[in-house]
Amino acid sequence: MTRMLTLGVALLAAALPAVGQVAPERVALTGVRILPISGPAIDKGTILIERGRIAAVGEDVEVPFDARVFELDGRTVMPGLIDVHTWRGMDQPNETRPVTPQLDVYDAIDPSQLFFEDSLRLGVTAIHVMPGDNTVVGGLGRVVRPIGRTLGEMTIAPGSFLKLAVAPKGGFDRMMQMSTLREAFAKLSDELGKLAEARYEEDRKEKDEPVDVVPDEARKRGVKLIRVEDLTDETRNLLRLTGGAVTVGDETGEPLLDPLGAFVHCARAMDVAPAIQIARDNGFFDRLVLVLGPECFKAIPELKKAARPVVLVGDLTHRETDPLTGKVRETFVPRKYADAGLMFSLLPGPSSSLPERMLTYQAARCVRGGVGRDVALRAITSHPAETLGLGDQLGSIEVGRAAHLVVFTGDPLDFNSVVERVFIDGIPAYDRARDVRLQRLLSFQETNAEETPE
Amino acid sequence: MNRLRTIRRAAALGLCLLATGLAGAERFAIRAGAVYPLTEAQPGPIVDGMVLIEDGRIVAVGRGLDLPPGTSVRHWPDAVIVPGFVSAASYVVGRHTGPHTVGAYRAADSFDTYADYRQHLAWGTTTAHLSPGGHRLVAGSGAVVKLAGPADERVLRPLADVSINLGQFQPPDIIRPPFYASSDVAIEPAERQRPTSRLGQFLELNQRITAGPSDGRLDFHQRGFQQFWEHGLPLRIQARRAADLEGAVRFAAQHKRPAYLVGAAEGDWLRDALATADLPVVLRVEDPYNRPTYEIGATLDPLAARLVTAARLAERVPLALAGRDGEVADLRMVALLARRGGLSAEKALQAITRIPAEILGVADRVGSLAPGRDADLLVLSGPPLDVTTHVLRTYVDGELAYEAEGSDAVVIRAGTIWVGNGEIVRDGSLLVEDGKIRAVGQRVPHPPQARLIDAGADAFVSPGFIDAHGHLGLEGDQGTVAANILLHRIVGRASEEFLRVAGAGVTTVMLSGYRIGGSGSRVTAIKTYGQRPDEMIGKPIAGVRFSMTGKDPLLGTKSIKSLLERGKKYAETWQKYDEELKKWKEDRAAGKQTKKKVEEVADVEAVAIDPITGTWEYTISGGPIPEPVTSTMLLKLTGAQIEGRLLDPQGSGEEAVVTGTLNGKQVEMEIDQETPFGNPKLVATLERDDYMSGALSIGDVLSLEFEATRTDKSDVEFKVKRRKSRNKDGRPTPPKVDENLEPLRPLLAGEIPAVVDATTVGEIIAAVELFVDEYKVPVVLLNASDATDASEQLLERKDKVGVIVETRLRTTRDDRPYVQAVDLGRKGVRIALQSDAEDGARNLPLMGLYAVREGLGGDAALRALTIEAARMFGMQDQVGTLEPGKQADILIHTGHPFDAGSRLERVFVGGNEVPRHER
Repeated sequence: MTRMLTLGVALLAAALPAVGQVAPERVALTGVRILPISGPAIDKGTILIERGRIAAVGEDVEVPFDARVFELDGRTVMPGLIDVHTWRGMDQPNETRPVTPQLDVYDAIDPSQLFFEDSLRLGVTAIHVMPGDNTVVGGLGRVVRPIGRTLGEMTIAPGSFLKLAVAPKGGFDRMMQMSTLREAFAKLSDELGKLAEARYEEDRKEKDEPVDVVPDEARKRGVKLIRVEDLTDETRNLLRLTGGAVTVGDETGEPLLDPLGAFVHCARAMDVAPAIQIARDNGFFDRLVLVLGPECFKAIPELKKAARPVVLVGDLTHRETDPLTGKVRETFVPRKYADAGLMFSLLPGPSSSLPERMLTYQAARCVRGGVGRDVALRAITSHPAETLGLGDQLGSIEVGRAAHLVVFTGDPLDFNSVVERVFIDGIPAYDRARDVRLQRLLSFQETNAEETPE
Repeated sequence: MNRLRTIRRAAALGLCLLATGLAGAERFAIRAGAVYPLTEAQPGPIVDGMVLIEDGRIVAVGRGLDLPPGTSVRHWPDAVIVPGFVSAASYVVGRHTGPHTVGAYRAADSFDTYADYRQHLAWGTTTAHLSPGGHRLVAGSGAVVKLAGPADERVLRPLADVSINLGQFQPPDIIRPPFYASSDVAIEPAERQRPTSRLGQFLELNQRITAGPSDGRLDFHQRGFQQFWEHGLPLRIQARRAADLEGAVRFAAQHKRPAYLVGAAEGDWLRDALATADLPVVLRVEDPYNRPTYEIGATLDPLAARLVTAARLAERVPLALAGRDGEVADLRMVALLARRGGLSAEKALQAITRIPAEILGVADRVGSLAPGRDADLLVLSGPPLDVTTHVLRTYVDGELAYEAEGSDAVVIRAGTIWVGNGEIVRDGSLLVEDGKIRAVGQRVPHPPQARLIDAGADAFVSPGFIDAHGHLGLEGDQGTVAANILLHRIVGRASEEFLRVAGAGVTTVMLSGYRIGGSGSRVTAIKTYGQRPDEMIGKPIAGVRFSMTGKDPLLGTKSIKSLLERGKKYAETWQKYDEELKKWKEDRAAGKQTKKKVEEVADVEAVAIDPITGTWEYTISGGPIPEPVTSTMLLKLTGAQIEGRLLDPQGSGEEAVVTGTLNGKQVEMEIDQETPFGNPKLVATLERDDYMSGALSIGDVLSLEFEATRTDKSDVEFKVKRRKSRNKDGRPTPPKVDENLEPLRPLLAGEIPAVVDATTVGEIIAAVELFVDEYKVPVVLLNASDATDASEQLLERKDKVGVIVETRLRTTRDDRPYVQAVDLGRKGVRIALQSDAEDGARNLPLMGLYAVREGLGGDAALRALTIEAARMFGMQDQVGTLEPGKQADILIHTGHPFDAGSRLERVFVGGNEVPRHER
């Protein structure tokens, strides 16, 4: 028992190795094979990081005398991997209420969750935490890095996407799901109208003038009088989703708030067209990201027309049983998106098996399934970065980008390669040699054998 | 050889171009035995009708349409075409459970535009109404969709109606807990919903129609319902009980809205009211046995419509039929059930096609076949409302959306089936499967996907005719056919000659050479049609032919007898081997190890030097070949058969197999190298030892000079090595096959007859005594002009003797006209008819007709051409009757085959129908 306790304390101390670290002024990674994603590989080169940003990349980069040098001969470095859509890091994926645009994952992310440590261990440097799929309007997400003691330390970018689902929430059928979605937007416009009317009346009162128009006209006149503080939490995020400016009838006010995008979950191909329609009808089509289940590849013609970024959830292989012959047909889904030229991002698989949790494994499966190697690599780096609107910061190794780097012992898509080091914003966030928990796990059997007789 | 390839390539290229040309057109026509347009103008079928389709739309419907050039026609002569079925109350989207008593739910939201609805399409439903639910007073708006086609084109009407359900009370309370509740934000009491009883349902409806915003809060569903209502959508009122139906009639009249009723189980009580109000009805009919688990009695619905309801309603109001709520319905079966309740066939069919399309407001697109409509149609295997009919193909927008799994089973229906064993089935049917007859009777089983051929009430079905002695396939080869010549090898595929004979109704030919060898000759039963070469062989050795004509009966007998004795010995060695083998197998099965001495010495059989075997160097010249080309071929002679290989003269190292025969000095070989004009043929003459010359020809297209010199006489590739010892595991080695004596084995076993040319009484009696009496072998007499004089002797050995009557029906005997067929037939001697010709066998049925004219009964002639001939050759277990288990050789005549005016309509050989256009 005592031993167990000691072990626990030791593990706790070893957890979150990067906590409280400050990025060194200058870091240099030398002698390393570089996969910049945005360009051709450099077989043996140097990356220079200054104040958390990449300052130089190339074969002949001069290393300043005061830089902290990591000699990484024979290793491969690539941009930090991005987990573009997960509810992990929170205690529950969703609230039970179907329409909750006012929610923000900020309130639920727990920095001490082992999930973040695991992510770091697998080379993930940015995680977009989002409400789960069991919802209608789920709330706001947030992009965080897997290091930091507080959410403030962790945050890369505050939420700029709401979670919506066209696929039915538990206990709902599609008619209820769609009507609840329509109801949410109908309520928004109804409430904004009433608010405009109230503001107009208030304004007339302040000016001591009588209200001398019909309610419809009052609503139109009140549109421009609405202030940010008049909005309720619920209305605020939905208004941001529709663009941030109040519209009543054909009267549109000044933009009050920054617009939000939406991650819309579609489980089946049949959900794709309604998702696109809802986005077009409510003005967020330009900020639409589709989260697609395996069967959705059947809607590729519509997706191609929409040309919006997509995120692939669930199995990478779609299995379908012929209703008459019982024959099973398999489709390797990412290949379809790659062939259609759509920008897609990969996610860890739904199974909790270790390999599927690795984004590099998912990318390797794509290569095996006939997707080009560069596309597969982009699907776990630059595609998710661009999908999140962070393409100028993350997802590639270029001068000026944030120094999110993963050092693999070999090629990242080789199953024998492991993550040796991770740098996040220049901070040496992970070192496999000092990963006590992992060392403990890998030596578990020996230890166990020694301990048995008691 | 190079030129061969060029020709082949050119032909292949041509075919490719032709195929691409066809693929470009989006126009095609479907032709079938009957087309039901089901329009108001044309409710009945068009016999041998056609539907012309272009770009997914129907362009024309009718008989003998003028098709634009290049239109491909898909022809199903036995099938029936009807419009795709329209389900006015389907269960495609499943149950919806929204809590609001008045909901603005849209059924289209739940429609999976990508799903595979082939289970519905297999039952013929191509268009369906989707319900937003039947559990609340107003569920929302239904939709009308197609069950196949591109995802974005499947929904025909997204908001098709306002769905009202009467008789649904006690909706749940709606609770709206605030988010989050606090001391400032109280939890409101649950919102009660109405109606709580039948009394309140119309009150609630009327209030909801006119109600304005009450408390200022947006009621999304209330507003949605009002939008549907203001939009003027038709009312779809689902009600079953008479009380609700009456209310529905009043409600529809009050609001002056187009409306229709669904369910209406008690609708026939209110026929007059419904007719006055002009309310169409979608009647749900219980289709109980389609349910996956059905317990009789356990789940019967007390409110289900009775079968007579449909008939009674249809008298007064437009009626559509649908299945029970909650299940995928087989609409055809539903219509069929309604027919049992007295609904007419015409109305039943319309009730699942045009009427529901009209009710749903999509009659301009689906539900009937007329120019401009969508090409949604079904190819059915038989009459639309027959129990045994099924959907062969379903087209949606001109695209094939469902195709029944292929099956070679055929059911033939006809007024008369002449089985051949004495039985005659009136109004009968016949099931053919895997090339065999499986069942015959008044109503035989219809396996799923079986093709139905309804030949009509006048049709007469009989077994295929047997030519008891013919030469089809010999292609004029007058050469002597020795006993070791494997006659069945000559049959490869059904050539033009074969098709002519098959098309005339002769399905089996007992093939025999023009001249026979001294040691007998084989008679082979061949089929006149087949898809594969092996289907063309009926029985490789069906008889052995001997000749006694023109010989002293005693001497003739002597030589045959010595042959039979040799055969007997040969048969005994085989018998011994069979016994040894049997014992060895038994021992082995018992686990006994047989240790026999193994003779290691290989006994190389000396190969006699013959004029062919060896290596030949050949030269081809002339024709389009600029310079003579030279290469080698290896040949081997066995009996008169040549086989070998030919090396490509281009030096590519490719080889082609050659086969052929040596006939005296004449060498005929075929090169197994397919060209569009058949295999190349080599015809040469052995002009001197080791030298032949002649021509190499490809069809009629190309002829080249050919000469060859033998360079090596050793048997290079075909050295025959035989170990006389047993094999190592002790298995006995079979005796050497002697093709000369091989036919005598089944003969002496009494399995096949001796076919004996015997003209005079002496010859006939000698033959009968020798074979029947001494060797217990049945005899078939050929050219037996004097048979009538030996009729007593023949009748004594009744079943063992048969006579193939002479080809000249009318002869003179003792200066008086004489017809052998009639004479022997009347006396009771077993007779069969022969063509003694190749494709002249096509006239065999005429011979039967003339025999009937001369006084042989029509049935006797039919028997002589079928079962009697089969029995003569011991093949009655294969051919000759239509009993189950026999080969499916079937003729369909428009009447008795030997009645005046009867016409042969269709011919099946081994279950394969002989193509009509080639007759």
